[in-house]
Amino acid sequence: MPELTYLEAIRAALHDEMEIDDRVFVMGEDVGRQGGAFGATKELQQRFGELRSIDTPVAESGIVGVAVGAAMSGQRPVAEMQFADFVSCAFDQLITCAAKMHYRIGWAVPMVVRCPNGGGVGGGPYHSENVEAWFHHHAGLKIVCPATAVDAYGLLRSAIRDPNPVVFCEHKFLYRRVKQDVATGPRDGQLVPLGKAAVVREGTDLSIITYASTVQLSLAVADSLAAQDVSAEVVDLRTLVPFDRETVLASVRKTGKALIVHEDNLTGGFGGEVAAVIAQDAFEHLDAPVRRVAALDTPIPFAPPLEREYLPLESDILSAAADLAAY
Amino acid sequence: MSTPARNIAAVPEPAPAPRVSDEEALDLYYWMVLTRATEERALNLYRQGKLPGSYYTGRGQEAISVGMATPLRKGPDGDWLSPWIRDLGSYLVHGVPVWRMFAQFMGKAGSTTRGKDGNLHIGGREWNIPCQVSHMADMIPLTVGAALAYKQRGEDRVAVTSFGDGATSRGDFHEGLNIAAVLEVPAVFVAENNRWAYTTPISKQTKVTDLYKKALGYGIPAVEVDGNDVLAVYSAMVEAVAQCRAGRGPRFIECKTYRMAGHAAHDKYESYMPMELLAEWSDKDPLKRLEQSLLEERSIADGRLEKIRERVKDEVHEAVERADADGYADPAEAHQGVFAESADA
Repeated sequence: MPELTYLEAIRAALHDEMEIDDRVFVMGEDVGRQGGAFGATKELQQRFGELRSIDTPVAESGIVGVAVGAAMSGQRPVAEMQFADFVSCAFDQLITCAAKMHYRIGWAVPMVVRCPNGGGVGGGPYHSENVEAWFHHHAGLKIVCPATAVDAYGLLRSAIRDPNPVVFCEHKFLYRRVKQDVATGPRDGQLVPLGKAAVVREGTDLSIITYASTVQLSLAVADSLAAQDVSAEVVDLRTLVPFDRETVLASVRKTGKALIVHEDNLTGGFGGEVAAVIAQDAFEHLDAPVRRVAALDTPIPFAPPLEREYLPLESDILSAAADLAAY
Repeated sequence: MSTPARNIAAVPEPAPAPRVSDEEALDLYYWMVLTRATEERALNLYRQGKLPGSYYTGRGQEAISVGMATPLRKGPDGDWLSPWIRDLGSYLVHGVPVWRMFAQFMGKAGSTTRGKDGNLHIGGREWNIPCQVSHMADMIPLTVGAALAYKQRGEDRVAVTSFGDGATSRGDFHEGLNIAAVLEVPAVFVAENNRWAYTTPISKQTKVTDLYKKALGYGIPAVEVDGNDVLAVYSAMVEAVAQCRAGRGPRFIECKTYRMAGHAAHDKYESYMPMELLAEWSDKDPLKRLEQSLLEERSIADGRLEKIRERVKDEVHEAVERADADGYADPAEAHQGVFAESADA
């Protein structure tokens, strides 16, 4: 089993799906010859040719619209936004065409829009955005946010096979910082189903519910808490749509305390929805108010000290968790 | 020394018009009469308060909606056709039964959207018609995507979409045309220049009021035709589709026409559209012109045309009755279909 970075796992997933399904192709800015700004589509054009690894003009709305039409016409497009931030240009195509087509006429739109998401890389206000909540509000789009290399691989393959439009939020801070043994291979690769959260650490005193870049931070916090005899459970949501309510509720019913953590900013973030579900369906089990840790409600600043101020850090999560444990 | 200017794209010589047989011309006549009769009936129903929402007519643009759809292959494995709001005739020619059009206007279960969307937001895999959206120009990139799929699989199918002059102001028009040109996909773009976008005249929409010039700017061969002459539209379409099937990349046809009513039935267009222009264009009515050509140039007996008109009358009558008798979808339908269970569904 090869040890792959999160980024290599994404590339392997694209490669393996393209290998077994001629309908799968990648398209986007610089994805072909160059293999993408980050290398996620590296050498796919050399392997599969220019019709299946397509360099496009700089036109995100056009790219996503073309993907919708190709998906409706029997292909399985994987469109890359060079940075997740640029999906704002394609918002209309995702919301207006991709998300509503099946509801209106029962015609499936099996496509993936890959969005290199998130901060922590000194990208500033236009290369650091977390975009998942923009799309969560609208019915008809699946949203995937992997935290590990194994999940990046397995969830991307499942997303490509899914008959619906999927916004795949891959966290670029994790690209080269997370490494894992990943079972790859066109036929033998390990898929991860959409809609299933993972309890990545079991505990009894409080539940930390999180996804993407803050999963690793939450696990580190759980280690620190263990040293103080506090047993924290960590739930990695993995996909926001479909949302695995049952796993979240089971965890909170067990621990009686919930801390929701995400890198996206607080207001209107996915954590608000998680909090509402817990408040409604696990109220009797709660021993403390639901807490949230998230980024500031500001654009994402560039300079490292400012960006650190913006992002939820391990210390922020630890202090909120410790407060909650003591409540 | 400066680089001399270079003509990078020019209007291609118009291809010789294919000979349209009398039978083909009569077929075009049937579809145009059916289109107009369907719209007139729907407008009456709207005025009687029997249609929810509003009603959008394409009166005066039937030559385009019928002419552009006629050369296309029909069915799920045929050509992709994404018509805009003025092109009711395209839906009919491409296979949607008349009664389902009325069911759609009424919001009935028999509509192609099961009552989930209205007016000409009609579509389905069985006809290879995607369901258009209200946002102008959005269907242009989708059409490029369908054409790309055909090219990737080496199929000689084409993807066609139509839109009005207003849509050429949106980004998706430009992004879609540009991508189509660069990827050299078999897509035909039909611009219906009816001079109005709701209340805004084309002079306030764009400085380049010959829309085909915009396509030339993207390196797409483009022609302009008289949009009120169905034989001209049909001939241009036959040629464009042949070029696409032969793998020569996208084509653009501008059909010059005029919007003969308001944006929608609720629009008081008398307050802003010059009445003398309407009268002038009324003389160029595409149905009248085809009729004249059939009777005078082709010496077809009026009885044959009368028979077609009678047949259409019956068809529309039956269609309205069937749609009227149809029920609404169960309210439970509102919950269904957000996500597909399989890609075939």
